Amino acid sequence: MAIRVLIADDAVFMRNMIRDIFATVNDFEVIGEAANGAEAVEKYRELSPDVVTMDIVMPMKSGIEAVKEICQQDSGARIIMCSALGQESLVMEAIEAGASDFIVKPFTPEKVLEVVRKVSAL
Amino acid sequence: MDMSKYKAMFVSESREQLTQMGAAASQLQRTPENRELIDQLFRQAHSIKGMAASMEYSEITDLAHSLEDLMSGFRDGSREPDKKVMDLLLEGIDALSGQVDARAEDQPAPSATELVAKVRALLSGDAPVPASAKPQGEKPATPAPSAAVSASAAAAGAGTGAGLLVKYSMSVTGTMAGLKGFLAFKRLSTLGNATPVNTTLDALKKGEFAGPIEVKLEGAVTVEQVGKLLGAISEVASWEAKALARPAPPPEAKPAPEKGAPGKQDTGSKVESTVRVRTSFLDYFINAIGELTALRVRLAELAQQRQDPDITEVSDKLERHVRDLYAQVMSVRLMPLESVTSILPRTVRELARKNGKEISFEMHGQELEVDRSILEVVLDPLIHLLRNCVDHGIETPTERESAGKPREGAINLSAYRERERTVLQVTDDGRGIDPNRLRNKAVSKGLLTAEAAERLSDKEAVQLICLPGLSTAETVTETSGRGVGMDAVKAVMERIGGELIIDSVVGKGTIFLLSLPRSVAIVPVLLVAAGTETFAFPLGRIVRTVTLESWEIKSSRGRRFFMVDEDTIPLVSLSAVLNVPRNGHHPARTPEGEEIIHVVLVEKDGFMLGVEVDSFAGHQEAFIKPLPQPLGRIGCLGGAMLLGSGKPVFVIEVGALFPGRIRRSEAVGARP
Repeated sequence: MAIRVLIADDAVFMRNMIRDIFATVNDFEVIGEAANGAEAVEKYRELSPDVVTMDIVMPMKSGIEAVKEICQQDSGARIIMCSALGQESLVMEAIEAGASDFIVKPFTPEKVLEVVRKVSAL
Repeated sequence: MDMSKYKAMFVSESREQLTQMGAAASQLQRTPENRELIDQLFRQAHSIKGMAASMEYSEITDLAHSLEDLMSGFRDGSREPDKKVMDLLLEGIDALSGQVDARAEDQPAPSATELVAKVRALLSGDAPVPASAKPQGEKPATPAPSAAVSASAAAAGAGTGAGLLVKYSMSVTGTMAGLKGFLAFKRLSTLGNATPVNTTLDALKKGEFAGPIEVKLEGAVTVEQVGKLLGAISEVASWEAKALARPAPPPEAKPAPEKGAPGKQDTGSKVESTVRVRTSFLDYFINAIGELTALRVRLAELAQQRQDPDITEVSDKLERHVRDLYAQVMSVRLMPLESVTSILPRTVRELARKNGKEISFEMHGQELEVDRSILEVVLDPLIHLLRNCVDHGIETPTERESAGKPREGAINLSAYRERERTVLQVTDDGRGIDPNRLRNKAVSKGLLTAEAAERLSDKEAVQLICLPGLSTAETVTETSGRGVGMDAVKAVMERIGGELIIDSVVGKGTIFLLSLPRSVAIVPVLLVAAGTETFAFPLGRIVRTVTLESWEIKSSRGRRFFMVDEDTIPLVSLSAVLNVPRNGHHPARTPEGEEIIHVVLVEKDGFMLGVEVDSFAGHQEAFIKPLPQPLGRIGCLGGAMLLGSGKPVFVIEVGALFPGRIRRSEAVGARP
């Protein structure tokens, strides 16, 4: 069965890119998208995805706060942070909040798939 | 990965972010303590950085990154950005816009190394220094000297229940190693009670320790479990686990995930679900509705011809649906004014700086929604008007002081609705436009006779500023004053069926009003017959229609006039203006034998004109298409539309029917 993914990113551009990456293989299915942290928490509750790709910096509720809330509801949640250069401290905070792994923009499709596959296999 | 298909999306999303950043930055200037704005600017710079990095646009990535850094130092609220920071921020937003524009055109984007260096210099002279770009090393780590391993029973088999001593090293260096090292530690801690042995938890959290890490893992942990967790981190180069000698406390449940701190800030704004649509789609919709409208009108004509109640019913229903559809599509096409005007505060600031003026600029009503066809054309005229205010309207601070005014001049842009129209009002409290100077200029340039100039009221004289080639500026400035500004504004307004109205009081200031139609696409028109042809007048440009008898028409010096409500109004014939043969026209006559003359009364800038037509032929909603070249150069024709029968009809450009301004003022002077 395909791994069900929720994509949370405030940039449509990034969401489309990540979705396209998953579309190139058949072991993933993108089941939802969220444009901010609050929506990510809501969609997580609604859809119970296997794995989430989560942008760190988002409006309304940051990715880190969303991770905290999601992990509070589901301690087994698998969330992969999408970070950018110069965000080490935020990544650290996210890991501490319960994120399973992170990828750094700009990322290659191979890297994304590798990390997501590994995390979902945990 | 082929990124070209993402380019358009990158460009449109970045532009949107930059527009919002521009607005946020100018708001931040007024309220530097507003942390939400700082957060927003940080977030948006960050977002652009991420997108640009994915597109491999390094110059945009670098600049966006430096703006992100610039903002991040202010996010804790301990300090407020000063003018230097704001200037850099604004300069950065401008430069980013330029880079995005260049990429949109597939041009190499200008690099902003200088600007990035300026930001870095400012930040390094500043405490605290925000995180700056660090290369993420993916190179193999140089083997670090191994730390002393605490002696233990070397049993690498299944867990004894006491726990394991886990040692792992990373295949990457630098920050990445620190982060992945901490991630590995975090994962281990889900298995049992984890304590770093050869470093501290603090150092791990700070990402400081990048060498092989030793972790004491207490609990019922198996080597397989450890292997599974660490093996899923590609950056873990190698690991080993040994049984701990000393007994451990009974196994604990997975540590509960950290209690989430309550949201630091919740802006509380609602989440809108939106879909991005290419603008060409919206234009297509409008086109399609135009065609539907034409068909609907044709159907109504058929229904009438055949006297068929069934067709009438279908036609009526269709009309309602098309109307609803039209309303919906029009509302989708609406965008707030601020989506284009948000750059204006910066424009004014720049102009003021260049001109050595002190100016406060305020905008009101910019949330008003306007059709995008209008938005697309309204920015240039607004910039022209604002330039005019800054260059010519507002005096220098010294001049203002000696005139008893505050040093700082005020310019306002407000927007409001007036019935179907949107009105943009630009006001300044500057020196005003001197009607006498304009009269003299117009006479000395040979645009007006001295007598005609004398006859103009002050208000009429002020409108002379819109004459091509007439500018009151004493010196030509970089931005305006070449006499190309106001007539260009006027021309745009006439093209879209808008109006420019100027009111000014010497010494007090000037008001410019741009009155804009709802849309430039679909408008109600009055159909008229002239000679052998049918033409259409946009209803919005018609004051009223009148029917005269021939005795009411007076002639003077070869021109015809008639009276309406005490006003003497010049009369022109549409077929004469357009040179349409009038054969076959048999005018209706009164029983007394007087010819009946149909007149469309139009107005422009407060001047009235009667246009004689052969007959009125009903009105309808029309989708007006612009004329292709060379027809577009025929001044009196503003576009074309289809009748219900499929017959094309020209739409009259009312403004162009008026004779030159000078002759018109003579006409005004001909009042009895």
